[in-house]
Amino acid sequence: MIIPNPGHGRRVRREGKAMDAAPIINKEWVMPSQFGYEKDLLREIGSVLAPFSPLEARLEDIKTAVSEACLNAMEHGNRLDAACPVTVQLKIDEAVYHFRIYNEDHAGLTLPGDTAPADKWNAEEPRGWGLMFIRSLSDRFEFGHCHGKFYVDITFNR
Amino acid sequence: MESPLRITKRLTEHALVLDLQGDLSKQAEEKLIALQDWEQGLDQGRLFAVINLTGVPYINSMGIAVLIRLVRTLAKSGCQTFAYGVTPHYQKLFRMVGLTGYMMIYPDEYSIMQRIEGLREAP
Repeated sequence: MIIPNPGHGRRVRREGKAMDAAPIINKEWVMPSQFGYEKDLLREIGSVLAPFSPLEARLEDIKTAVSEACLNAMEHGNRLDAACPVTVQLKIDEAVYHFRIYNEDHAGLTLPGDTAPADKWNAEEPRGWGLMFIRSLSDRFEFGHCHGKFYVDITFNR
Repeated sequence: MESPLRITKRLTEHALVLDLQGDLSKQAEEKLIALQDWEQGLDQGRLFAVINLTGVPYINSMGIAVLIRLVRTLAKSGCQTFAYGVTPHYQKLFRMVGLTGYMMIYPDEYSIMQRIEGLREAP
């Protein structure tokens, strides 16, 4: 079960002209590093974004990019240790949907360089497509380390 | 949570049809790849494989990797792969990874069977 963080989730309305970075929505979820939990998250994301009426194709892009980031965090970040959580934060403001996906930072994890599709096809296990999906489907993608955790930031323009 | 993947095999006159139900994810590796020895080709010398994805609501990159392995192996043994029941979003992902160059996507099984008849009749 993914757990909404009780410290988040309040809808904040700002009167008058919205400031660029003023969040309309702040949500956070925590899930164990076990494949399948990302699906529950996608349903929650769909519910949160529904009032903003993104196009269906756009919503599918968002769900795929976020789920792939979660899968990477589970497998490569937390090594599928169910006791290590993956945390997903969502901030929505007037301009963007902004996701931050956290996992434990084992020995300074960095993302691998993206290999060419032809090289992936010829590999014995043709994996590693998640990073390509995240980069291609989002409007901005960054990663880094913060307070002992590794994070991936994915931004979608509204 | 994940929906378990169930696979049903059907044989038509000229093709092997795989009806998939559930999530196409990491679990597909042991269920789809291990279903039979794909390197030996298809049942009774058939040359066409059809993958029905109508009942697959969720596909992630690990599931796509399994599809690539299957399609690649079948192509090496001279088999052509088709698929139907693929949503526009997943068609886009398949195009991004190059899968549509090896697996032809059609709107339904009937149109695939029509195409197979055309391929068989071609000189």
